[in-house]
Amino acid sequence: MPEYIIETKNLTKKYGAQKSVASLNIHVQKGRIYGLLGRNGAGKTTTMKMLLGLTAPTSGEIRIWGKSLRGNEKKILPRIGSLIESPGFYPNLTGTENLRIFATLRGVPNSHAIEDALNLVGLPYKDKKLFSQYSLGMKQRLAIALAIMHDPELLILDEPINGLDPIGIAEVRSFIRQLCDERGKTILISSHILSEISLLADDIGIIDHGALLEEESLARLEQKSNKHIHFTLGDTAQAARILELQFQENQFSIQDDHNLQVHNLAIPVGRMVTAFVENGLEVSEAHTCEESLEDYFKRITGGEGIA
Amino acid sequence: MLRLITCEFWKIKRRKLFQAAFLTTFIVPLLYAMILSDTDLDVMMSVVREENGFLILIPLSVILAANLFFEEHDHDTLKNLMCIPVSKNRLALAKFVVILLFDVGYMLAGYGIAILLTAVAGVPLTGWGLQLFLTLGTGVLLWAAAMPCIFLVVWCNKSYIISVIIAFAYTVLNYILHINDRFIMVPLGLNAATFLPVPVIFRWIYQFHSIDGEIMREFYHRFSPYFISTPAVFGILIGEAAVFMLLMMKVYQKQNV
Repeated sequence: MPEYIIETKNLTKKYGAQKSVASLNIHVQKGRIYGLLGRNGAGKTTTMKMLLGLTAPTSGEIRIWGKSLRGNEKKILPRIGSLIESPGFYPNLTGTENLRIFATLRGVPNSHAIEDALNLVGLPYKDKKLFSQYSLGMKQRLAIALAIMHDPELLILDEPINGLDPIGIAEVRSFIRQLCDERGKTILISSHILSEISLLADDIGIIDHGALLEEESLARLEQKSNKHIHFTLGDTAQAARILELQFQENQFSIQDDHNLQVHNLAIPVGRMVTAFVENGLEVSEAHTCEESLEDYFKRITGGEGIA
Repeated sequence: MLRLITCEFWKIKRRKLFQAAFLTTFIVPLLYAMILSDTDLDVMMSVVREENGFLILIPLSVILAANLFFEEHDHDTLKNLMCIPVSKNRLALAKFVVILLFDVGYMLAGYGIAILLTAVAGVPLTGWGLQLFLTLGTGVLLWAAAMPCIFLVVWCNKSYIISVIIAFAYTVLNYILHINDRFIMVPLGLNAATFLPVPVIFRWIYQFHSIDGEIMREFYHRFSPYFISTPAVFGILIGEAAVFMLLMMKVYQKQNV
């Protein structure tokens, strides 16, 4: 049985009558990156806030390192680094000064911790620039530096690439991957950008309207996504008869008069094309299609996909 | 706790509001020295304690406290502190200590400038030790006096403008009441006059005034039965402050991150 660093049991958060998070059961394994994927307002941030004790659950349980979060905050929270929503810092102070406040309060023993964290995210140490003068990307980098400064075992990062430029996104992505692969950190990351999660996460949880729709490893999710052979030809009714009679195949679907999909990938495409042509059918297109993660997301959430 | 207090001071670095607020302590003594050249230390210190203290320091304390309490929400830093984790009660306590140190420092600076101006005028610095004690004591008492108003501001949790309005209304009300016989010439007991901060401070501090002239002598004589002892004034106001601090912690605890 895998070792879970984070485990929630029927975690629920209600605001009035509305459920922001509904009976959520997530399982974050040690040394892996777990991507919590969902649209804006799906309940990702509320879930993360509950995991950090920033908001109390209405019901359900949170276990981190096997211990209930409730009552163990003082033992558990110092081992976690977090970034929740927008970066929050004192505008009248520099990045270094801001980090010094949090390092002092955390009692960080390493005197180089601030410098190291800033170097890792590509921000200058002891720079005179105030936080209020930072660009959005710099603010986000400082927030990441704050999350990693005390060398936590677990990182909870809510939309960490928000506000970063494409180069910054790639840097942060590779840096997060490195933290997991080289330093053995367990990382829970949320995003509404599917492509980002699919590039980074080992395991994915899909959350919609507060409920967890799917929780799988990325590899399993890719296997689950639909694959088929698509044909564009003269007459789909005749093609269907050929498939049934010549190939004893009934795993296909007719889209319209000219488009047909064969779901059994075991039959070679070339053989089918030859059979259609020999029976006088004009084949203008034949190719293998794979449903993308976005299509899969769209299918299981029953709505529009996300970028 | 010491770390929290140190960090509270780091947070106000480069904050013009705090620097400007501190400088106001010099305004009244300087004006007074320019207008009246024959002043002695006792009179100068009364000006520092009553005009600077009652009229300027109380609203400043409230505004600065509002600033300290609201900044964590305004800059979204409270979540970072809660994740450390820092308890909200200890955080609130650290902010109260910062205001206390500001108030005592403010009064001490007023004392310093008064001593300087008196010395420059060539007047002997008679009773400087007593004046120092009274000024430091007034700093602590004015901090306690500001607590009910700070509670109101934290409880309302509204904008700075509302905080400023509340602070000035509270200051004016207290100032008016401290010159009203019905609120100062009342025996100690379970009555409103016993719990009104500025009139109570005035009933303590006035007994140390040097009396000059017939009108003052008559007033001192009439007022003296209602003077309050040092332990009583500290007991009442620190007790009152403790109640309001506890209430504030409860309110702060309930406010969302």
